[in-house]
Amino acid sequence: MGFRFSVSLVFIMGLVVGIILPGCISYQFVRQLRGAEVMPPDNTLHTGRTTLGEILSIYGAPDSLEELGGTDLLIYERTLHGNSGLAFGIPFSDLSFINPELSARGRLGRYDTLALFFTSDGILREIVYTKGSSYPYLKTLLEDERATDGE
Amino acid sequence: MKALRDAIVILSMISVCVSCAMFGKSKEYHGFDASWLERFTPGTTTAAEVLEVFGAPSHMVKLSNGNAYVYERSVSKGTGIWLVVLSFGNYETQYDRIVFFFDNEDILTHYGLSMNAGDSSYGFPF
Repeated sequence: MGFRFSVSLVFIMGLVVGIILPGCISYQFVRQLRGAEVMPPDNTLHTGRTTLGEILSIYGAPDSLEELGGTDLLIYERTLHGNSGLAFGIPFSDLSFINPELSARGRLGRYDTLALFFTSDGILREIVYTKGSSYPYLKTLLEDERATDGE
Repeated sequence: MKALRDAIVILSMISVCVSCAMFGKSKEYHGFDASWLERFTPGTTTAAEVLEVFGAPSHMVKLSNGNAYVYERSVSKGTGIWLVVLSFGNYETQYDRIVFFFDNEDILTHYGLSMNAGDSSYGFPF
């Protein structure tokens, strides 16, 4: 009765590499999608005329609301995040303090946003639409507001 | 040549054995039904009546001429694949949301409804 596989250097190396490699090298890509598709504004929206009720019947409930200096802001937003990372390391941390690791990571954020500003009477005052923006509109807006308030 | 073939077989077996796939789903539940909206009439329904039917909102927002009560629930679906040194993940979250707008006298002025949680899906990130 003999061995089914002939033991050779290539075989042993293949086995060792196959076992060790997953612990040392890894590449990951994670995609996160949040929210429904945002419809771009069409010619049915008119600043100074379109009401809050009309907007709600067309676009539904907003993803977020905010009151900014007497103006009500409704935001419809879809976010897409992509995270990728390549890591190479030798996990020695259980044996010693030395734990060499080399890694590169990237993060990509994409925001489709429709921001609608209303007067306190519920009349559309301003429309802002961005597609594929790298920054969330509301966060940028609020940071600008705070910066302005701080001056 | 045989040794090379054996090595390929072993590597393939290891690849399969250390690979895995995952499907997950989570719900952030808030009990509401869109059909309950039929009970409400803008201009007459009060905030108390909405609270009686829908319960406490997920969050409230102070607006320039009143308040908004937001009721929200979400469904997230995740898909993951591990292939030896490669791993891929995909997560999608969609929401059901109702927003009630009240004036300063707590009378319902408008409401908006979006029901997208059921559209959340499994998938690959590429």
